[in-house]
Amino acid sequence: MATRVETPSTASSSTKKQSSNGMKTFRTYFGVAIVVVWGLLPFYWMVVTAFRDVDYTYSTNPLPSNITLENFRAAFSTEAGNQFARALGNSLIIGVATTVFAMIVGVFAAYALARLNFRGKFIVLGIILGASMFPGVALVTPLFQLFTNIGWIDTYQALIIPNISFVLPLTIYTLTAFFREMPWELEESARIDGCTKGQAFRMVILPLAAPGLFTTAILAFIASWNEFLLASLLSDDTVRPVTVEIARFQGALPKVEPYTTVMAAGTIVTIPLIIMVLLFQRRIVAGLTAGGVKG
Amino acid sequence: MAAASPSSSGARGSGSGWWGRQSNARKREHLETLLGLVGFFTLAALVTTVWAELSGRPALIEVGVLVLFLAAFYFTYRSWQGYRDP
Repeated sequence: MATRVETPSTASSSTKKQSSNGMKTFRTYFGVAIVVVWGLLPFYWMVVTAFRDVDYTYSTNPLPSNITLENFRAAFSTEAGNQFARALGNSLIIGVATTVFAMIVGVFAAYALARLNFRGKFIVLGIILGASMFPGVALVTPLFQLFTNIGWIDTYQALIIPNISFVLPLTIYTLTAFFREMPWELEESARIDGCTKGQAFRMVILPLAAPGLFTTAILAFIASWNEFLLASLLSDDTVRPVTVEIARFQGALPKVEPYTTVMAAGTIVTIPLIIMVLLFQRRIVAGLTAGGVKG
Repeated sequence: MAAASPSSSGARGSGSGWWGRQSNARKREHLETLLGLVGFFTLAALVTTVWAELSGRPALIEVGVLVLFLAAFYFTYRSWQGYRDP
């Protein structure tokens, strides 16, 4: 058995290396901490204010103080004319419908763009990219005019259809990138085993693309859930989504913004998104295809 | 007016930087995507200009934007053609 004799020079270089590694780890964690604090601080402040008594709305105490659940009760109360619960339901309907339609169309479009060879394929991708870059505010007036003419103002379809057009480019782009990375051999093997192109897509490609599909669906849902601009003009009392409802929250006193109630409503609104990510986080993890192909 | 055709300038498959490292097939794909992107906005500018003209509003700015997009579309198209498959 060979014994390693540590000379002073090797010991010093090993200590130096350890110290350098320690510094590197510290820098990494410090950077991560800054990003996390930067990202979570507004949410922390929202939650702290949501639980704070209305008399202490402007308190600058960073720790939770004067805790009460009254703000959450006030958020759901309809006494001041707020319809928060209905708005939550509306947002859910609009978000789910948008996500489902966008995913159905997006999956086929992305598969075609990633796997099939046809003339002008990249021109289509460019057009989709252009459509996603088109400023939403430029569409507000024409859409308002159009939907007024056909009597669609304050209907679900008036919010769902424009939302689909905003979410679809995101869906197609994300799924195209995902399908492109999947090994061709899997599909070819399925074809050799007797599958048609459609069967290979349905039985082999789609199950393997599940993490990408879930990730894209979550992104589409979040984009639709957070939409404000079009909803603020195209919706009225019946189908108003939660983003618009919070913006027009009325407090008990006239001309006094009910900040604590708004924060409570904001906290409630973020809960479905957190639940979705927690439920599907295992599906989101990439690498389902790892080991699917030999060599 | 001559577009910077890769075959004429000898730039095909050569050059440095990100663009130079791309294969001709990839360059063609990138240019085709750009063509779609510019084409989309050219069409949008065309519709806006025609609408402004038909409704009798001053359309000088719209026409200017359309001309810029048309020029961009033309140069992208010429570059794209330069990487056409043999």
